[in-house]
Amino acid sequence: MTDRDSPVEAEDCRSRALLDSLPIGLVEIDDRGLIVRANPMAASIAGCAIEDLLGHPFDRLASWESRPLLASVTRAILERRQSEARFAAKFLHRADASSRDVQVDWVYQSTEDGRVRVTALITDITERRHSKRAIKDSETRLAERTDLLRVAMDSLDHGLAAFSANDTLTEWNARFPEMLRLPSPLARRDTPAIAIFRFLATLGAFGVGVTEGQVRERINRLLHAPNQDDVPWIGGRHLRFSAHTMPDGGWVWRIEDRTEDIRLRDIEQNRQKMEALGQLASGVAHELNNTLQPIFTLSELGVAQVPPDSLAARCFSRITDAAERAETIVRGVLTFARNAPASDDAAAMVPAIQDAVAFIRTGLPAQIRLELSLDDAIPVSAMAKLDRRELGQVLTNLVTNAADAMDHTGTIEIRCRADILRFPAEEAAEPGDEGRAAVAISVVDTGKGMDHAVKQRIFEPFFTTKDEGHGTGLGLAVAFGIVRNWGGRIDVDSEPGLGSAFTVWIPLLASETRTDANDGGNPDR
Amino acid sequence: MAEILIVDDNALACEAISLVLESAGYAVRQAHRVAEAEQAVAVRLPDLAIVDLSMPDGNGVDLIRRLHQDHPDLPIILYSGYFAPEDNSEKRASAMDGIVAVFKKPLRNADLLAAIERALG
Repeated sequence: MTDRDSPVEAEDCRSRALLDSLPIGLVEIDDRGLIVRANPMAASIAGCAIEDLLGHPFDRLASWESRPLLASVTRAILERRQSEARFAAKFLHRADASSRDVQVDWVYQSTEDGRVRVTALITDITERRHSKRAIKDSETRLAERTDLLRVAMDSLDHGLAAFSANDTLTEWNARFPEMLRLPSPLARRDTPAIAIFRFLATLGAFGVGVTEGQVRERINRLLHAPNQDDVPWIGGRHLRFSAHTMPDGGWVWRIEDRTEDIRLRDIEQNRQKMEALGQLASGVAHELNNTLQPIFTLSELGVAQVPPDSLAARCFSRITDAAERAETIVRGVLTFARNAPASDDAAAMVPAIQDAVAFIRTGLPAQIRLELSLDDAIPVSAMAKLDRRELGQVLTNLVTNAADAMDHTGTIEIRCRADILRFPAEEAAEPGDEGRAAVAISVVDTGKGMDHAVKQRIFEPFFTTKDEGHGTGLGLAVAFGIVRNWGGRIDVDSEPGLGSAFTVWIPLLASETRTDANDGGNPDR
Repeated sequence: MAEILIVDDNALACEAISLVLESAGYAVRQAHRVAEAEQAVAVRLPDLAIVDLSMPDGNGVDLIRRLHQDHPDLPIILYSGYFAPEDNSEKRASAMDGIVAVFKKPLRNADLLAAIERALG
């Protein structure tokens, strides 16, 4: 072919060589749509040799779903209805059966010998598309992760806050300001940690009159202590602080609310204490009652042998009195420590309470007023399985305690209402206990109140905050034991300086439960 | 003169009650163990027995059961320093055949003497 030597042919050759070297597929198609020429890149996109392409319809390169589109555009170009076109399609890579995203640019080329030639430029945009999609995907994922992280942080029971290397607040969850009671102006980005310490000092964290510096030092120590202690916090809660340093030099302040764990631990300790006391009490009661027997017997026998007004008679009588006191103490400890079956008697609650209060009033000093209020919601027919004398004893003990706390001046209220008796889940005798209809009797005083430590021990036998010689420290322990043996519950609510409220829940007899529930229209039933 | 047998491992209590009963005009014998009590009954049947619940060599309830089996007419008073409320022992003891009274220690002289008088009356 001498044509090659012509300058036009040579130029054509060079441009074709150039086109072949481009990273673009190049395919020439004749008027029947058959491939007449293809460059190496086109073959690479199609995943086969150049020879395998020649003579085949162009639309065969497309994957199944892109084939109709490719065929129709090819026809439009060939029929010169369109001179140019650009569209995206999927081509099939024969070697690995993958599909490639391509962009096809059509150029209507020549009619040199009256025959149509069309050139298609094929650009593989698979990678481009992938990376675009990857960027978009990772942006979406990041946003999702951020949302997830936010939701996860906010759903945590712990308070979490991240501080920068120069101790300013950067991130925090919902619980953090809530647990520290931070006002919203402080729960902001860039709040310095010192401002938070300053606020906690004014709040009285770690005690009244503690300075900002002391709070800071205390928190720093807690944050870095290897053995974490539970800190008594405001509002009767217990918190545990810890810190985690972050790679960028900042740190995370973590706050755990330990109140519930401590409550459960206290319940378990209390259960063990009661078990041990029960054993001890029955042992002591047995031995002491055996020992008291000859003291009673002989002092009573002795007094009968001597003249009534003699010194000896007085001595014997005092011995009997002392033995009686010992007997009362033994009985009190036993009432506290041992479970006894409920009484066989049933008492009508309203008159029983009224009678007991009337009786207690007669024994109170004049400076103490005792007010009784009975909620109308208590059914008049409310009955409970209890001994009225025991009810009198419980109320007497509570009122005596209240009077002592008020230094024997002021008003003590006895408030009675219809309520549901519920035990905390861990204490309930039967799991899933729905609660029973009950009468709740609160003895409310305006006395000196008590702190958490005293509240914890208030029902222990022989625990007393009163001066030596005032009471045996058995009154509340006995009340506790009696109420427990009724199947009821006694609890105390108190703050130092604000007085105390002891509440006794007495379960009502089953028939009353039904009547009460119907009348009350409780939607849960 | 009516004779009363006191069965109690607490020697002091036994002695004290003996003094009260003697001063009230009864003849008294003492036993500190289940075995001694059975021996005493075998020698001569008392008119009444006062029995403590717990003894080092056995249970007062078992002793009472045997005593009642052999001597259905013997009135028995049970007393104890401690009845466990959860096992209902006080009630169950009161329901036992042969028992005329149940007392918790410390019991008072007047109550004991009244119960004895009722049983022997």
